[in-house]
Amino acid sequence: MIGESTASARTIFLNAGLASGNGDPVRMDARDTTASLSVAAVTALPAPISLVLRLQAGESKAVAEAYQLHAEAIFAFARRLVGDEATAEDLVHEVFVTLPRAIRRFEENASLRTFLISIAVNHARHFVRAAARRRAAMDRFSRQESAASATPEDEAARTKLASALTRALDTLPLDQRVAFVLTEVEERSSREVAEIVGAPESTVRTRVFHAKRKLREVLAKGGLP
Amino acid sequence: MSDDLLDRATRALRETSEPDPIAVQRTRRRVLESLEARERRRFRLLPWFWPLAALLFGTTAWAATTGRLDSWVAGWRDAETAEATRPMPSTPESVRTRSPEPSRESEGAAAAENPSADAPATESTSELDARSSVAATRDSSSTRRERVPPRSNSSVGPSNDAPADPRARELAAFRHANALHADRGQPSRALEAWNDFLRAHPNGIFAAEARYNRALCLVRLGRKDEARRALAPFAAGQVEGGYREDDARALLDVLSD
Repeated sequence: MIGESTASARTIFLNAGLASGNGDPVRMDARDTTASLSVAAVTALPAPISLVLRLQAGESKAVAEAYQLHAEAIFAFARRLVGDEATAEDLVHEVFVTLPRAIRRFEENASLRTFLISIAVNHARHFVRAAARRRAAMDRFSRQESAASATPEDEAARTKLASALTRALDTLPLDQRVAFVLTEVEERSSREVAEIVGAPESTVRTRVFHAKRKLREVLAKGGLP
Repeated sequence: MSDDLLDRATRALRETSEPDPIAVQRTRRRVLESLEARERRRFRLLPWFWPLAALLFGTTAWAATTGRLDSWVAGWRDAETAEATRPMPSTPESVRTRSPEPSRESEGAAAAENPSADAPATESTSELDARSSVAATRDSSSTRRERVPPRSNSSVGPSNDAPADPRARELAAFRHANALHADRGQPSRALEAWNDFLRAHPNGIFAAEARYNRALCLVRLGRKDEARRALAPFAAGQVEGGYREDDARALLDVLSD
């Protein structure tokens, strides 16, 4: 690895996720850089360069460390993208198991979290299709969900809306789905999304535009209030 | 109305898709088990290793006794020399340009052997390099000068048998400082190590991260004014195209509380 230190080590500059003093990841909105951070939390930042070097060396502990830092964010994205918990778990598992190989493509000035999301996007096709097929099969064989629920009314309405949007997302091509989830649901900037999906910003915006138009149509047809 | 519905549905999806901590931990176990299984599979290939090693050893021994080994080694050395004298590929602006190292190395070696006439020229060249952005050649002479006495008693620098390649030396020095930095119980030692690193490699490829980590040490030591000054260029986006800009701003916000 010393021999390739120039190219690979130069690709180290990244913004690792922030960690609290006990190692748990601090959840931060992508645009909110003034979250409630204690000095202890912020100063417990990992050494990103050593983490990436160790990932490149194939250390399992480095993968565990990366998981500790970023799993929740990747899980949330996977959950929003594929639409169910079990498939999201599988996608997250795939992301971190392939990380030791994929880290060789890691570029400078990138964020490790962004890189992990791009891995998830690259692997998403199979998982999205599987989840959509499962949902379609459940719709055929199960009864329609009743509006009445043991949970409070607001919670039930929210869950129903989320479920409707997940089904509407199944009607989109994968690239529009990914662009919509990253931009609208995860509220990432076009620039960041363009970096994740490897497409120009204008292309991302176009995909989001078409996605939203299609989703409005599908939701309107669904008869939701 | 459909816009409002889409917005509401989007918000609902965002709010209802936070991960279950149990699922996160379960998947962590799966990931580690998968990686361990992969390692075990790799380990199973080891029975093939010894026969191949024996074959290699036998081939080398045969080549040595028949005289073929010398011609192979000579050919390899020629290839290495050709590789070393090939012009370096271009690098991004933030990475320093390099002049051909073998010639600089030989200049430095010549200066060491003939200090009278050549040394001043080499020294002044090094000073010019220090003012310019040619960190690689500066490192090769400056680390040679600075290696002899350890500068701080709390952090022993990289060992004296550090690799000859300046970039590898910088990496070794960075790793040493980073190991102290990762041990959060020793911010003073880590700070001295970063200071030593930056004195030796002020324009190296790891300089930006070293400066940022140095700022973190100042924060940990409670030296807020110095920490603010160190973080200011990062927060202003003046370092390496915005490197650590958001993190530095967050830190400055915390320090101002």
